[in-house]
Amino acid sequence: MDAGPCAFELCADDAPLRRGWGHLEAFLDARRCGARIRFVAGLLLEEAVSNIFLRAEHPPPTCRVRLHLDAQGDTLEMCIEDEGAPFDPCAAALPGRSAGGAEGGRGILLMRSMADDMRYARRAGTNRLQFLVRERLPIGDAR
Amino acid sequence: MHEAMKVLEEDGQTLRVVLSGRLDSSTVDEIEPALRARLDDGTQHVLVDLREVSFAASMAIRMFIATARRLQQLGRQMVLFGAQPLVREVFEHVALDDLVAIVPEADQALAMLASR
Repeated sequence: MDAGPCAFELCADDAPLRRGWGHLEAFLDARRCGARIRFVAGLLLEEAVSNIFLRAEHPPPTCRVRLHLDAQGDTLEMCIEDEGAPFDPCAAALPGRSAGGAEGGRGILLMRSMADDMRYARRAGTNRLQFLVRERLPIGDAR
Repeated sequence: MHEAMKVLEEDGQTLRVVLSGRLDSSTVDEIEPALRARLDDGTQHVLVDLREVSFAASMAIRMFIATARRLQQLGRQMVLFGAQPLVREVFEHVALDDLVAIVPEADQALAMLASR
């Protein structure tokens, strides 16, 4: 895999999380990305794609997600696009502190907390979710 | 039993559940039923060893909360220990320690169970 940006397509009927992680891992390996970028990128992929494919009310089997990746220095740019119903996770309500097990929204909370930047746009019938992840020490180690 | 989970007898009162690898949605889908079946059979408190867990997503958080609540309803306790820094960061962002006991080391987890 070369060092430039990459784009992949994931399909609802073809193990999208497993395939997405495989593409992402190969991309991160090729660019020797650090532990935090690897962890957070995997988390963002898992939560965002789960929301699109697994938590949608009626995901069509042919539903597709496009994953765009670029890495510059110690920063990963990741963009996830889908053509489902409009949904802005940057504005969605979050679970309250100590929310019970049945309450959802923790995946969105984690995306918003762990990404260094997260932006949503809806353009031409497409949801576009854009993340920046930077390499740095975990919270506990930075104190 | 799933390869990412081992259940060991700590003593007569306590089980140690050792998890490893990635706790993502597909792993949790596989280990949660096995974990529930194993814990429903017993009467012991539960230590969950996270030292070999490299990744945890929201499905893992949901599993820990559901398991802790179920054990609590049965009059038993669960304590998590050994989370790696990035896994601990995930726990902190969702305030998991408000709902589930979490400590750094195994001896602290055992002491916590002994004090209850």
